[in-house]
Amino acid sequence: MGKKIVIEPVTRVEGHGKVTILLDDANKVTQSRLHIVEFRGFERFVQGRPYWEAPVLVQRLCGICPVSHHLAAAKAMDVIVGAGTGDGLTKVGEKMRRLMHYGQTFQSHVLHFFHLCAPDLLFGIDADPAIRNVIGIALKHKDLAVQAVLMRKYGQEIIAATAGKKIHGTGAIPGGINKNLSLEERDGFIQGIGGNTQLSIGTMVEWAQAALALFKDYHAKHKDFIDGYAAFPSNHVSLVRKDGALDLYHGVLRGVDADGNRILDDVDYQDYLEHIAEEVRSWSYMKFPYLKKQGTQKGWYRVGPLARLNTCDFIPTPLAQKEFEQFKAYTGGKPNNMTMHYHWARLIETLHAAEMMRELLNDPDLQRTDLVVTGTRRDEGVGLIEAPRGTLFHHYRVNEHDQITMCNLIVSTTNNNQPMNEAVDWVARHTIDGKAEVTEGMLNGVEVAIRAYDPCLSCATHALGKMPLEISIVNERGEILDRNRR
Amino acid sequence: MNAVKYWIGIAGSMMDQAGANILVYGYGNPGRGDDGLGPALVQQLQTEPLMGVSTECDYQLNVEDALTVSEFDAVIFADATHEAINGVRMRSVRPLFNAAFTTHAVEPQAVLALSELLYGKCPEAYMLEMRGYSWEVGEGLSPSARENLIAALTMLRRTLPAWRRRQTGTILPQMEWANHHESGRVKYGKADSGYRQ
Repeated sequence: MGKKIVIEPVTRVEGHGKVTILLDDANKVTQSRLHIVEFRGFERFVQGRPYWEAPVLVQRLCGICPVSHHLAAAKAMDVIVGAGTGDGLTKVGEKMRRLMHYGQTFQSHVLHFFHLCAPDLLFGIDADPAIRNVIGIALKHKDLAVQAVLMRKYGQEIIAATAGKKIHGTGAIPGGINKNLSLEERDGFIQGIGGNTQLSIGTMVEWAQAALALFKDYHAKHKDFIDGYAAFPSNHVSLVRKDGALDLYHGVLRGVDADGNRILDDVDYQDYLEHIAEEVRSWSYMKFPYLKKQGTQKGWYRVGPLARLNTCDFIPTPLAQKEFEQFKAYTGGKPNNMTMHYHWARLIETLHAAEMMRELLNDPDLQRTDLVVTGTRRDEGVGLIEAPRGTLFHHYRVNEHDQITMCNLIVSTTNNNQPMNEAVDWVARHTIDGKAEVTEGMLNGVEVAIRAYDPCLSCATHALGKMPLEISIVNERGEILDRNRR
Repeated sequence: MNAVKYWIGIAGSMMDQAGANILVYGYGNPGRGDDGLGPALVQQLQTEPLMGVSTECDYQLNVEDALTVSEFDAVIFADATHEAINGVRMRSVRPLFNAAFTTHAVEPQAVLALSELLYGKCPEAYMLEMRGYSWEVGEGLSPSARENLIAALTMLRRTLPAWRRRQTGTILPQMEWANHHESGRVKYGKADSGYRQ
């Protein structure tokens, strides 16, 4: 009798995800899928609203990465107000946004590593879930947990100072920003927020290096797992700066295949529809993006930290560049297709984000007062940004009454839809296939592969009582054979 | 004994000294309908601040909030709930050291546990739940949720000053109110059996 394993929702993944693994009578995996209930109504919600509201409105999408949506929408609105396609702002306008973005990336990557990844690495993926979490980290590795808290807080304070407030920030507006960074704020971030020297940018750089060292030490001791787990070849897509540097805020779209051949050659993202399309499949609410030239079967791609380090030529900050050179040397300069190396790439980016914040905080341009530029009004604009989880597309059209008439969003997690399905399939076939019993560790192993992508499904409301985990094993007649809730 | 006295009872247990610092921490996404009840409560409290009462607001709780709450004597976490309670419910919250994590967010119990583990301090804490009814994308609260917001807000305004006056009373870790509008005033009564433990 065939069986179906359902993991719903996926733990420690934002929003609601469900994994189904179908087994035949011999417990052989016949199909595995990651289904996602992604909210898609938002694009209609913003229609009819004035375009200048978009950077604030889109933050309602998600409580996890609101800054990314805020900035992507603001970049699209820059185009609408004639302020250029990403590089036409004043120095203070662009640099304040960059500081906001690197603060967001820093705190997001820190959360993922300490909260969602480190428990698996420090305790093992088959450890008791009761200790395999950040509380377990606090009990066994208090110093790490203290660092995680302060690193998160530092990033959050950067966001509050640049976006104006924690919820529904208003810092980025069409054509620029609405505030600069005061000298008092700057000094606090450099010397220590509220006089706490641990909350200084120098400490953040040091701790980012320490987190990276922790991962590298683990990697050295567990090469087979980190290199082999859920590894598969793929294309990779991200923004890069025009000179090929890693740039999370602005650039051109570049894609490489699994061997490093350029398949998307530094194109202007205003023309993304010429290069990227989305396929609809009946079994998931989330679409499957692909590169048009390669088609649906071969054109899917990965985004996020791993993809970014595969597409860029160098990192423009010294400490992260040194780490990047080691990262590239590990695969002989070829693209890195090892899923668990997302963690390595993410921590290199964490260090880069800290270095970028340090550079920006010491830049006197942040105290300039020419905050906004305007130009010739246009009726269509695309804003792209490298969100912590990957490339984020915002595309709008506006009518003569300044109302939004069309909105198309491709969020990072959507871009990683097919790769996450590939990862689930790899784990199912390598760890569950043929086994008579499916253990807790095996099920968490599925989630470990998904979590490497740090998906954010943007749809949870976080109200009380909404996020149980239920794992069910169901036979082909739909009868539940086993159920585990936690 | 009416619910206000119960509240004062809680306050008495929370405060052993005058001038103790209280934090009201509202969380939720104001762009998802009634999920914005927590932030709305904080916004209202900020318009007319209460002495000795600080406010904090975010989309959800996270690990860094352990540091925030460690700096207070008492914390009231305020959030929307899907549960079919009668309007507003208050219950005590204690640190939970084996909390499993399901998302990027952290539950109040885990925040308290982290506070105790990392900073050796754990404030007395309560969960203020306000029932929500609509969770779709969109600004503003549903009419029923707004009533619950007013009920919770009025209760806080009436009782928080007493907390700071060191009034004592019975410890009631959990209670529930229904809100009833009568002659333009909000009354608080027992929702079912008055309170539950």
